[in-house]
Amino acid sequence: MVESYVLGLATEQERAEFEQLSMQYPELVEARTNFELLLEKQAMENAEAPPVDSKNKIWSALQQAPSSNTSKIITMEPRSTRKTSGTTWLAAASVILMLVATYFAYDFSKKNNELKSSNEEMQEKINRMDSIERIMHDPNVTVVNMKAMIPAAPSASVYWDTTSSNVYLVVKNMPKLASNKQYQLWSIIDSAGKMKPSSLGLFDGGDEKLFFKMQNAQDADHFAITIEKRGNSEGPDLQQLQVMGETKRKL
Amino acid sequence: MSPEKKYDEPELVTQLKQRSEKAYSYLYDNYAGALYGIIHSIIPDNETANDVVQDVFVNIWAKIDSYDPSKGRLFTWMLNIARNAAIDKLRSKGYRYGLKNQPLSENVDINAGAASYPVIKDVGLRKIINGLKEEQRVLLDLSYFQGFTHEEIAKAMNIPLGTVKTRIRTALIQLRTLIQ
Repeated sequence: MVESYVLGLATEQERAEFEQLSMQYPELVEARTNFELLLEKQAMENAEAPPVDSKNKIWSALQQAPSSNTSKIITMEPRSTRKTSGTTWLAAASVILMLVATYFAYDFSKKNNELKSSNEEMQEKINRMDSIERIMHDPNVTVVNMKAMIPAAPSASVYWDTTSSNVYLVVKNMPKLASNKQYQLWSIIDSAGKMKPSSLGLFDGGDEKLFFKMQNAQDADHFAITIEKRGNSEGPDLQQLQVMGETKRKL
Repeated sequence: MSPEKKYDEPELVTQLKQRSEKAYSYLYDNYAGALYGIIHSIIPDNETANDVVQDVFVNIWAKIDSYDPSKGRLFTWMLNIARNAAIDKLRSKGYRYGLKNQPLSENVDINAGAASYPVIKDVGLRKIINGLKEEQRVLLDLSYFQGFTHEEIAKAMNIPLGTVKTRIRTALIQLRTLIQ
């Protein structure tokens, strides 16, 4: 995972996951940095000198490219001789024209950049939707629709890939909680009437339909969601059971 | 000007974000060679590789504000810009068209199917990857040096996506030990 993240081979979703885990586990960051340093050292040892004029070409390309936060300071020389008013006006008009043109060029490139970034955002969304779509139509994936256990009728479905053990969760109508609370998904194994819960991760609610990649589950008889305190590391609080569903697992 | 001034990474990043030409010049002097090496391992043609390295540095200048140190080292970020730019170039119509229209030189071996493509040098990461098992080597070549997604590879090679993923994962773990 570290390697594919650093080498840029991870998918958008894997990247997001890795970045989230990195915030929780400093040792993951350390492993990442170690691999980065290895790669860097390796690249340095295999450096090839680019052609000598390359740097100059880059400089001149940069000089031409408009950059949003470097504004040039133009000093104006006082004119020692006054020309006839006609040419002065002409000069003034051309300066104004140039300023206007520059402004439009700047504004245009700014708008262009804004469009580009909103386009990228859309693309990301589409990619996400695509992967959700793919998961939902994967024949290895079992859908577990959970039943609401409270009157507010939240809905939640687990998409469980029983071959790869991946667990995806789609929830609706699970409102944002107080900042010290989070929802928690559990997988529950029923062994001779004894329920053994394992946490598949915590998540925050929201008004819209939400999609999460949760921790993997190899085995489960039920899935359930409870409300717990933020970052809960203990067992489920069954008083706070929100939804629950049974997997149709063949024994 | 003190050409021997060394920056530590956070300082360099701050300076770059302020568009310091000195810092940028330092960046070029220290890293252009390494990036050029990577680009060259994807694009064997010298002239095209030169163009790409120039684009990459212009891009680094333009995008430096989006670099986030919490997500990785500066070099990793630049390396990925370089790799993406090289792959984009490799896949661009212009580049492929250029290759097809190269005159056959006299030392071309007619029996070799891919002979009209310039030879990719066996150095750097490529060399390390060549030390892997054939199935792993092919997968890393397609994904890292040619930029195909796992799905595309699975489809093209007619193997299950899960297998592609597992093989790449094992290949990367192997790669790590080989680099060390």
